Amino acid sequence: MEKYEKLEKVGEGTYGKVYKAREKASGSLVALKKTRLEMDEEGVPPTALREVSLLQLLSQSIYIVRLLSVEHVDKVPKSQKSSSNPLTKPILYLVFEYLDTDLKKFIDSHRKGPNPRPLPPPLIQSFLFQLCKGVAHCHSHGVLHRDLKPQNLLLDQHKGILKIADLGLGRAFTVPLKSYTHEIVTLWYRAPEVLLGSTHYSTGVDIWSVGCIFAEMVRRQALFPGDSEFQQLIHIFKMLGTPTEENWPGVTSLRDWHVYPRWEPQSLAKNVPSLGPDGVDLLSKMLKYNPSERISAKAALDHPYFDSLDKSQF
Amino acid sequence: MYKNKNKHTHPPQRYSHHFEELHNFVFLDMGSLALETEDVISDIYLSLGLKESDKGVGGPRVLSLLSSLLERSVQRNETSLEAKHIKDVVTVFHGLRAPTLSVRKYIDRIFKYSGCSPSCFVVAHIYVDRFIQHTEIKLTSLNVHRLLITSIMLAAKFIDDAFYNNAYYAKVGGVSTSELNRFEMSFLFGIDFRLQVGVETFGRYCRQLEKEAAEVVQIERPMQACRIKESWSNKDDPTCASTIAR
Repeated sequence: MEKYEKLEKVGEGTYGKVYKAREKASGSLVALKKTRLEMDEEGVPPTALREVSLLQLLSQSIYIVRLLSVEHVDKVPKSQKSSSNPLTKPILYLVFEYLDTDLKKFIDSHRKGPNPRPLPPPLIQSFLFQLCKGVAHCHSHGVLHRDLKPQNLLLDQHKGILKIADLGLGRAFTVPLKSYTHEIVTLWYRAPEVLLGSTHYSTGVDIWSVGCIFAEMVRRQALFPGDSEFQQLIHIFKMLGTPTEENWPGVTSLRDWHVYPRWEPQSLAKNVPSLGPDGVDLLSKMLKYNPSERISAKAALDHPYFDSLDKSQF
Repeated sequence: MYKNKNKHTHPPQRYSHHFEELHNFVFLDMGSLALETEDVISDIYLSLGLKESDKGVGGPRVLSLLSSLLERSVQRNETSLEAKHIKDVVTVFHGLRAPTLSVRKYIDRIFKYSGCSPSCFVVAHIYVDRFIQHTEIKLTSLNVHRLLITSIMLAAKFIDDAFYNNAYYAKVGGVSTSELNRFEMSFLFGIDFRLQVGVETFGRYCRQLEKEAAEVVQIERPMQACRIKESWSNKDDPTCASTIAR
């Protein structure tokens, strides 16, 4: 790791710190994701395995953060430095391209601080298009991201580029498997089928998250900010109406379905007042209750909402 | 998310039952990625025991077919190496002596105690092939068991949402945790962390196993009541006693 000069700590993950660093040879900035392996019983964390493997597969898209290399280092702790036969601590470093901010920080900077202002509609349109491009790329390669949220969308503000990051919860869906975990996606962006205990979910879980992120860019605050799984469902039901067998066949058979109060759907347009009719239509297609009716990422790219976007730049 | 199973490090004898959730499978159609119709794919998956509960004594059929294929490959490679009087490339996966437990019994044991999806065994086979192609080693009786426990554990970590940790797999496989950690790292760098398996590749390997069914030749070694650990380890390690279920 002598190739890199650590500049500052920029975050902390489950398995270690994330540093902003400079590659000495080229002078280019990188992000170093440090993964501690001294938790002997677990070995290489599954999040690291998935992240490295899936990013290798997906990194050819400019809408997915680039993994530059993986470095395995045996670090000698300070206490062992003088020892003739020191015990080393294995560390795995994932080296990524460096991006200066993420969508959460970007939205926050427009909501609070000295100059609160809405995100410019063309920028929302551009970011959403890039997000759909990235998600379509994941899905076409048989990968569910399963943790899409503003914090995991990195931005290059100067170039106006958005990239999907953090595939630690990502999963292949190309092989027959036993049921999936329902402990995926930060609550606010979690699809109703997952909240209701479905373990046979598909690409629709990512599309629901994209819809929530779209609305959040417009509103500058989360669309469904629940603080528990139950409250999360209530937030969704109050806005979109309580789902029924008519609009979502099979919903009442899901593991965690209970008899909920019957809320009528509100106008989605009223909850995203600055969004035009095409935007509201796309959002409603992303937030369909029935996962099989939810628009795909690929189809979303052809939605009229993006007609005014200069797609040649993408 | 990974907490439940990761905490288990008890000897596998405590978990000799087959896990109920094992038989609750899902296959999500990949649409344009799939080169065959879903029906044909489903038939193969069903036949290999990848989709539904296999109530047979031997577990899903994929286990016996994979064992047979690997044992024949080992036999072929060893015959070839002997005939040419050449030694195989030595890696961390090579033991001093071949374990006395047959590949078939070893695979059955891993399935019995790991609770991983039967698909993990097909994926592990793909990983072993990638490792062999990348490192140019030959599959022999000196390395096949270690490569198997490592690749199956990695397949479970990568494709299953619930799995046991390295310490547990080490007990199942008859190696120490530190050895398995070392195998894991060597294997990952040996395959360049390429763990993703596309539907086309998965289908191709399933068909290969189906073909194997037509020419199954059992070449099991007689099982001896001995400790895998002793025949595997290059040094005595009293901390990891044998865990062979007798």
